[in-house]
Amino acid sequence: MDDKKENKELSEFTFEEFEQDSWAWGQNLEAMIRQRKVKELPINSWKYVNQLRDEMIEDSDNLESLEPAWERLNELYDGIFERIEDDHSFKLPIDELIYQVSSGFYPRPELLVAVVSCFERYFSNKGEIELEEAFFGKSTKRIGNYSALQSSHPDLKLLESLVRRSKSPFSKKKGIKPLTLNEAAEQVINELKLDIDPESLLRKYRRYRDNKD
Amino acid sequence: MKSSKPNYYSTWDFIKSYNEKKSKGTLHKHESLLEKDFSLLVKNSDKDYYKEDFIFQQGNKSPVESFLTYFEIGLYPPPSIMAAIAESFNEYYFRKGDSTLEECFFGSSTKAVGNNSSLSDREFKFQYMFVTLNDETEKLTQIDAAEKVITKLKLECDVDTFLRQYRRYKKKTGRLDISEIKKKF
Repeated sequence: MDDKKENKELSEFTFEEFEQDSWAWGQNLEAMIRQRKVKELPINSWKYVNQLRDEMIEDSDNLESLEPAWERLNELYDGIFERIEDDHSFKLPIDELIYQVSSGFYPRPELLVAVVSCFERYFSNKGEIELEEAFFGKSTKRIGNYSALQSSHPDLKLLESLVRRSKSPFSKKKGIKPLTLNEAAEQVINELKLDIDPESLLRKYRRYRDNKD
Repeated sequence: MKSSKPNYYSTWDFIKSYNEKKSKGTLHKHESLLEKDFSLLVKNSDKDYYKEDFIFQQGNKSPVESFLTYFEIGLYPPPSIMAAIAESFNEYYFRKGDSTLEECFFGSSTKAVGNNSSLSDREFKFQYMFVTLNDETEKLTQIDAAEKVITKLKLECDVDTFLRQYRRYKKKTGRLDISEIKKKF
């Protein structure tokens, strides 16, 4: 009875919240859990991935661990992909996995495990949750699913993504300098052939960012 | 319009076409890079698991199932399977809300419950193995118990693969309660 009451008090976790907290997503999770904004640690989150990473490194002697394979791969990659704590270049672990595979790299094992765990959560819930929810949380009626949410403000999302990627370990290793917001804005305007000057785009971006915060 | 089929990258057709491109040497640059890294993984692993046929065997009904199988035996999947997963997510993002992730991976006609019947078997077969192995009257070895489960459940899986999967399942699940599991049988 008490359990039921406790569950009822928990507000549902939505894409909208997810989006609003995207910048500090990994770092804010503990606070969100304390405030009962989320019921459990989302699998497709940096907090979960970091936890997995620590467990996997500890378990690396296990014969069937992915860790030794990753060590060989990482040597081949000259250690580009550091397993750092907080400075993530991607909003979600799945985004890093997609980016790495699409760039021709095998991903760190904890990213693979996070993705597998999302599928497993979906299958073990026997139809009670959608695959979408297993990866991204519940959708909102107003916005739609996570893919719809991601497609809103494509200019601003591209801007964020360009800046974030220019700061990634891969870019650092390749000697690519981190982009300033101004440089990124110019790239966005060229790429999307926008009829707008960089200053106006940045004003729009700052408004968008402030509203998110 | 929503398709009742999964997106192309989540089908065996994609894997077959990938393998054709590989044999003709016409893979995309990122796929070729993955293949190069993969040769290092193959060199250090049981090669049988990376034979092209293995992807289609073991009762896997889609690239996603193959992805999970490789993970269950503690191996990185081959590049074609990695590409299938990454491209399916790209396709989901590209559709900008027109498809759910579930439709993208499995098609709209197969809802979770339908799909799940084959995949929830993953857990069932390991629980069945646990019960078989702990049967005091038979006292089977791991290999004998695995053979019995494979025959009984008509699994398309070899003993070695099944045992690797079972060991990882047990390690992940922790201590299993035999009396709780027996209630399911």
